Amino acid sequence: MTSLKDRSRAERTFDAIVVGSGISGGWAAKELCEKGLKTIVLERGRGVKHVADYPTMMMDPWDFKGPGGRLPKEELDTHYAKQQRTGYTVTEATRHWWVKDDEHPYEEKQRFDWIRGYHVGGRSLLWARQSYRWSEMDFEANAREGVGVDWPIRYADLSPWYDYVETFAGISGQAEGLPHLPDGKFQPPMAMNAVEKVFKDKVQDRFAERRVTIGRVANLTEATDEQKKLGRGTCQNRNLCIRGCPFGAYFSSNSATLPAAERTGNLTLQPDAAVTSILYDATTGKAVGVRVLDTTTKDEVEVYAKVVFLCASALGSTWVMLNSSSSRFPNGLGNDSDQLGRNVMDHHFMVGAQAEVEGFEDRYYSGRRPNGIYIPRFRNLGDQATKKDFVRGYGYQGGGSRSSWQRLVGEMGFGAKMKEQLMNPGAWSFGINAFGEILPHPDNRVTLNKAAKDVDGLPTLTMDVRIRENELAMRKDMQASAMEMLETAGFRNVRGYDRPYGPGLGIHEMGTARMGRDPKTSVLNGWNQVHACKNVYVTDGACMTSSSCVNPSLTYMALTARAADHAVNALKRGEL
Amino acid sequence: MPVETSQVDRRELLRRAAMLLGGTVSIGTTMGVLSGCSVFPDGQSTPASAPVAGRFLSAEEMQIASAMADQVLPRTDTPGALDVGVPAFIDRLLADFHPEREKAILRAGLARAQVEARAEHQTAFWALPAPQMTALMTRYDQEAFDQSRRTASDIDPPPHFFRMMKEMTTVGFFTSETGASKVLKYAAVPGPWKADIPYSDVGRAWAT
Repeated sequence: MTSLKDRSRAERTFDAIVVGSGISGGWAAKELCEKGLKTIVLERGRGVKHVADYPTMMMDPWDFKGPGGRLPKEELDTHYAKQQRTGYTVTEATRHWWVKDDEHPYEEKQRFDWIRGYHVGGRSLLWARQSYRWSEMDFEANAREGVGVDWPIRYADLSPWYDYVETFAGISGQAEGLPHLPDGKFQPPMAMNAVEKVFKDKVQDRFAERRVTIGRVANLTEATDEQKKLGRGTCQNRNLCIRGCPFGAYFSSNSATLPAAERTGNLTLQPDAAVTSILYDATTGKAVGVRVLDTTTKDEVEVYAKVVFLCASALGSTWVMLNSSSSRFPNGLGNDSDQLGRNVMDHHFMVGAQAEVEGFEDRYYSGRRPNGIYIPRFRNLGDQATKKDFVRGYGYQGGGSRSSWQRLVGEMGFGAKMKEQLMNPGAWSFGINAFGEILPHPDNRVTLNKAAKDVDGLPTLTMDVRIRENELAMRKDMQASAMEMLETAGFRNVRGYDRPYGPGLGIHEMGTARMGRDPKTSVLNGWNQVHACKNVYVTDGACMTSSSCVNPSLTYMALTARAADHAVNALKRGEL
Repeated sequence: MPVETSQVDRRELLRRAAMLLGGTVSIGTTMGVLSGCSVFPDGQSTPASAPVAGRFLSAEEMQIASAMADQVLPRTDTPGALDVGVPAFIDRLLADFHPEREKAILRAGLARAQVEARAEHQTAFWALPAPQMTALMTRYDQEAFDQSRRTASDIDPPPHFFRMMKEMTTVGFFTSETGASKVLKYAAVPGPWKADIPYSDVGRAWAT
């Protein structure tokens, strides 16, 4: 492909620009291309081709140098000081997916974990794939409680778009008929193992308001013809999703939306292209395009289009807007409300309980299910019985399994007898971890730091975010309820925990360019358009007005598809 | 001859060996390790030929570590630690992964085993008859267990050298191809998820 710099202005002019190629950017590309718009996707990171660029996908445990695929501490500390805070993501099998913190630094006023992957596909290759709909209760909560601002949309606005994106992406799950966790268009659910079934029965017998279901996950259990045509197949239960799937069995931009966009003939995919700002034309009150830094040559070039979709992740898109100052927008594009960069949210977790399970020695499983069980929110459902001393709620993810060869290292003994023992699986254990809603707070904020530059010479971000009273009160209940349920199931040696959580660690950053009804208090309108610059849409986590307690990616997909539909219609009507 | 040698072609073996050794050693060194000259073939407790130093461990330390690994996971009716090259694995972990504190603990532990073998039995550790060797190792095992209980609530407590030996031996063994797929059960591509089946349908612990 000719580099952008060597192309004429006409060759750098498109109908639509999509910034970023992760979950949201991939959907924007697919929808805009399928609706006939010549679309360029600008991705700041390197190119990643589906399957061909998953170097570790077929590696076996003995193919790795480090013990269990671990990286040397020195390498982790030098390049991944922050990325490694998850404890599990940066390994020999996955290190090529993560940014190097020494190349892409940020400042922490308080601990903030910004876990990122800069490459085509972004974190859609790396996500945990848990896919849940928001409920009416989630959209109404801010208005009802006087927290933040009201969402400009309700569940009914998004429901058909959830149907649409679920059908294409492929979500496996069990319908439960719960108003606070709406059912979707599901592929067959994955089954529970012996102890999970017991846990489900005992918890549901004892607590009428609680439900234990199988995780709703973006792994195909029965590929549709549409999915097969894209080269996607059914999940083979390797549970190595994060390395990239040779079967295209989990949803990613690379396996699903980008190929769908590509086959229209309308897609131009440009990696190594960091969008540094939006070009704003004060005379028309619209964006005319974006400024791009070629990260390989350091050339700067402008790309033009009628409409711009910002899908660079919550903080990535916010950074682009903050870095787009003009006489009309001295504090960042669309920032009349001063809300840009504020109200950072995530899901707080690292709290729950574990237990040992007696018996079931004659039961086992085959395969590595890339999924666990899910316990939907059961607090503050609107009735007196579920009301607590905090607002909102939390859900649990977890499951049961049998211990393996690792179990005896810390015990006494060695030799032939220990070896014989390790050839059989050990006892069952069970764990559930809570994920809780974080309230929007204007002082939870990211700002542009022009003094500190990244490897490309670009300004960086400063984070100042913490969890507050509501989240701290919720955490006590998250631990107590986890222990209560494991005890109810009859498990033994129940141990609760509440470990240090750094905002961002949930890798669900949200809220920094929120949607709202009033341009004075929000950045985006109900169609994800920047209030004061209507041909710029922001459809990633930045747009979120509140955070719910469920994993957000499915909602970004639905919002993006809805916004793309709006943009195409608005263009046709000559409104953009 | 290590078990794996008979089951894969030579080129594949070299590739794996280079991987195992970090891809930083020459083919000559790789062949040396593969031919078994730095570990004891067939689980013998004396070296068949002159011992070879590793990248971190000296020749003598390598012999002590090999003897211990052999006792921790011996060959039974299935392969053992020495059949899959655990000593070389341990040496590589020490060279590439362990912080200085852990390296020093392990080194001091191996030296102590040698000193105590000579003091109590007037022989090198690796030449001890099996009952004496396991008796000495049981002493270290008890110490390691007591120490880990004592320091359970400390932040980043120093490990006991024998705990390190057991851990490295176990990880090296069960993440090797033979350990994972011949001693335990391993499925690279499991296919359908069977959530709740009788244990007898599987018959062995899954390696992953």
